[in-house]
Amino acid sequence: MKKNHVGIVEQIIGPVVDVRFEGYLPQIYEKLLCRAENGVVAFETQSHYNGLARCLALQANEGMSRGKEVEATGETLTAPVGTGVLGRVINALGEPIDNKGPIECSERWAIHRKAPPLTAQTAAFQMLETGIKAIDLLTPYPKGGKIGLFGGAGVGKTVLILELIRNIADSMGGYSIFTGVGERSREGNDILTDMEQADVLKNTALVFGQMNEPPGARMRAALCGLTLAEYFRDVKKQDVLLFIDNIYRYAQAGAEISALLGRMPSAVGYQPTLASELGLLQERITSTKDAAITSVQAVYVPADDITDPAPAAIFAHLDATTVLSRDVVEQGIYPAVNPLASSSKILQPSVVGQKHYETANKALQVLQRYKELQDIIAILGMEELSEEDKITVRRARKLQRFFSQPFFVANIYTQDSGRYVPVEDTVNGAQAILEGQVDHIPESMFYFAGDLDEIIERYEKNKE
Amino acid sequence: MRNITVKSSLELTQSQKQTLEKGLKDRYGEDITIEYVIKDILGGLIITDGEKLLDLSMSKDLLKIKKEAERIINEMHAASSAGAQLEKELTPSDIPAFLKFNLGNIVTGNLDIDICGKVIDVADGIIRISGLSSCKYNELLLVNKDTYAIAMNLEKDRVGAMLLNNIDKVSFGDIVYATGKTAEVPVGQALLGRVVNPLGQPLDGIRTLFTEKFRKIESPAPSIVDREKVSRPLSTGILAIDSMVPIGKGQRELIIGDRQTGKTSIAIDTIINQKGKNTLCVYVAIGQRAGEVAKIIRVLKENDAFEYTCMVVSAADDAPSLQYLAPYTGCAIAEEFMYDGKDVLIVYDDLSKHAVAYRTISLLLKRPSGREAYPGDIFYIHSRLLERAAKLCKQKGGGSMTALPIIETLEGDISSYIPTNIISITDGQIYLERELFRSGVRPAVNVGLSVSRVGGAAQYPAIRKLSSKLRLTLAHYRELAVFSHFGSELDDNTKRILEQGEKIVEALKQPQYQPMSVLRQTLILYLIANQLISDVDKKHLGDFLTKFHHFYYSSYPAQAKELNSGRDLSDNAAATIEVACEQFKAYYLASLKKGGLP
Repeated sequence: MKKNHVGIVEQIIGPVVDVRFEGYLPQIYEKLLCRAENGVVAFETQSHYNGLARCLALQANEGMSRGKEVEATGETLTAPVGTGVLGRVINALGEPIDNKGPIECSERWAIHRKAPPLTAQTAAFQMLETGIKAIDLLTPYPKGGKIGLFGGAGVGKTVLILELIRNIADSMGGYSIFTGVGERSREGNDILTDMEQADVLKNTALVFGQMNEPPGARMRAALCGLTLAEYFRDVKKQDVLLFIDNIYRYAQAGAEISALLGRMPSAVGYQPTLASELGLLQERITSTKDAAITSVQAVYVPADDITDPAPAAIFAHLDATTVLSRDVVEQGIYPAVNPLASSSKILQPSVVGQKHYETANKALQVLQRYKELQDIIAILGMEELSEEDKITVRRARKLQRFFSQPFFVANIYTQDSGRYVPVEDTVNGAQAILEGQVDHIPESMFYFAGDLDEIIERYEKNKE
Repeated sequence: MRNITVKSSLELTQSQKQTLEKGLKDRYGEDITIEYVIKDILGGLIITDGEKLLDLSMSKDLLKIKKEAERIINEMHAASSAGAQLEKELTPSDIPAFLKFNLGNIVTGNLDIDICGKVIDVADGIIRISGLSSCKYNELLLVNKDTYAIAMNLEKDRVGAMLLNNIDKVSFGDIVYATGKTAEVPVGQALLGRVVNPLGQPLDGIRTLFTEKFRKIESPAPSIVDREKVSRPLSTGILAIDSMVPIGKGQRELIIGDRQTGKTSIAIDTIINQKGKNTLCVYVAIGQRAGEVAKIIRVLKENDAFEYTCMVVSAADDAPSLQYLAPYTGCAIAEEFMYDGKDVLIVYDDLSKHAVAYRTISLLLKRPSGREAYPGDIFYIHSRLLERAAKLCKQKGGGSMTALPIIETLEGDISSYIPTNIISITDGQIYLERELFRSGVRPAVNVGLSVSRVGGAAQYPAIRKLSSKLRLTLAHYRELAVFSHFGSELDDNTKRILEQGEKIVEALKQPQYQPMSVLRQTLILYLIANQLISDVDKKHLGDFLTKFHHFYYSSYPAQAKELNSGRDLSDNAAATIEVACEQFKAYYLASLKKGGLP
């Protein structure tokens, strides 16, 4: 057996460690191992600096000292691929963390890979029904496309992603990969137990690099999850759903270590390589002629500032974006979709049909008009508006409330069972509201219902 | 060339110097320079070349004796608390005998050479040290005799460290010892009812801490599979919170709001409410005014809550490094209880000051800054801390740590950097609003922006059932109130919603330090949910609810006991409340009519 090269730690600054090798220098992305106080710590080579290998710790490296020996492994990080990972939970290093023994797989793939060539790629032109009214009507999701859920802290991104898993994983069939990047460990546990109970774990692989782990692990967990999905697409030629919660944390982890790696900070302290780092990841999440990866990515918006460099850079990669806003949360409307800030590339008559397209546009116009009128209402009150504007305001408010919807995964908050609304009913309902067919029903009846029939039923019952 | 420093209390005589120099040259060769320093070390010599140190001083011997004595006393104390019968109490007159017995072990002829370094830069509590080649990342260092520091940067030929105490007493050339361990603090039962600093040293002026157990202040959070869903309630005793933003054991719930909006009060009320509920508490004060901390201690003592509480205090005048350590220390203390299978509540008051302290340290260590000049890893230091609070699974003992971090906002701006960071870590937030506080709504909880992501599953069934619609009803009321602010022609439906909303707001008001029992909460929520308070005037509502509680408690003691258990509301129980309410309301309204409160 070939003996691996051994280097000596020369400098430790947080998770970034410089290692000196004699007569050898590990390749960029090469995995290194070091025996520290609390077990073996893995590192990934990031750059060469004055003849030293500058490496990033993928596990906590407290208690490490200079002069320690570090072993070069000669290979990059790998992930186990194939059906053996289904039903399992792994970390950024591709190791199982669910105490269920080793993963059965014949192959391990390197997690750093190239995106498929241009000639192999296809564009997505089919709508994916989610059963969520606000999304289906205004920002229809493309099958095989990339979908982003933007929102600040605590506006309901994770709940929405869980509802989507519930609603579409079933209907799509095939396999799903859930990648938890820099989110709460508690949520990881919740997802795991929920999936076990719902018996969907057998078709799902879970990858976690959560917020208690060092930045290296959080960065690599995203790539690890993606590699699992790529295997199913390229080798098994099977459609895959890839959920990433939360892609912002990938960019954030890069920012945490960027300065320590010796790079100059860019705008708002982000890494100068922000756009290229995201590009490397995002270009790999794509559909080929063989099979499609449909990805749903939650995007955290730091300080509720949508112009922050990271979310701004992520926007460009997506086919459909749903933006969740705090002011909608404040009105008690969940999911807190901000219709005017959300968009979808497939909201076109050729994809969704003429009726859907027109209704969605009409809805946006009414909501936009209401937004403009809000300032006037705040200063002068409703009475000062013209009769026509009054009608617009009332319909807009009804529409806003119509977009609230009880979720299956949220019944611990609402004590109300979820509703799945087919897109056709959503379009019909919105059309009826916009045409004034339900002007007689008070707006409070529109909160948290399924389709319009349920609202009418509620009204009739209340009248008695 | 080797520079050797020799320290002594008195000037050495020429012949002593010659003997010493000869010995050193024998060992290190001719190429050395020797510097003599006079320093008060009681007696003996300290010889160092900046990397290694030979301490032959009297003060070191005394230190050894002191440590040995402490160890013996600790051992005896541990034995006595473990139930072993001591033949007799240890009296001061026994101590010399103990020491004499052990003295032989303490003073030996062996030369123990320590690894050490030398301070080369000192500025603003940050030191740089040459030497210390074996120093570990985050190792606790000892400067001189009683100053601690933590190694932060291990550069090629020097170590960057932050001083934890005595920051103005360290100077160039001081000797730094490696302790070989990362920072750890005493933990265990002995900490309850005590006040300690972030190094675990007592601040309350009473006896030293007797504990054998120590725990590293940094340790990894429980992994995904070691956790369990949050399923049991942690009652705060505050109606607005227990009903609408319920907290479960093992949850992290942020308390956020401007200064003077009652953030600390909510945390203190929650600690007080844990009396007799088998939940231990840890309160961490980060950069607080000492006067404020003294007040909290007094309140806890007055309410018999101090005996199950440990306070970790870093005052506003402590070094930023000490303020930075405080929450990790508190967390380690709480962790010990959690892994012991107990339920713990920990309050971090507050993490905004913690962020500022860490920013200070980072900037002084010349690490680059990002948004609002905070360093890149500001999110990670908080996520790492708060992730350690968890509900453990049965295999791990089933303990829990519930964390209530506090964040202070400026002008109600919860969407600035640190607040949103923490919101994205915690399992929900309780947002306190200054406008509400000023207009007399206390606790000033803004229901629209407050949320609990997991607590609903952990609520008492009766309370969950009764308050399921409450949060949304109130949020809609507030939105409608703003919208119809100028409207003169309101339809009946709107008027009804507004009126009902006002009543609910009134019913949820609650004074400080008066936690409500489950019974009382159930009664109030029942009256709200079934709109039984619509004919009681707003200004008498608070009085009515208090008196109704007394009435129910004394008239239906058996039912009251059942309600207090929080079990799901039976039809029978609901009927009883309804009857009781009718009885009492008739009496109450009648006496109001006659003038004067009943």
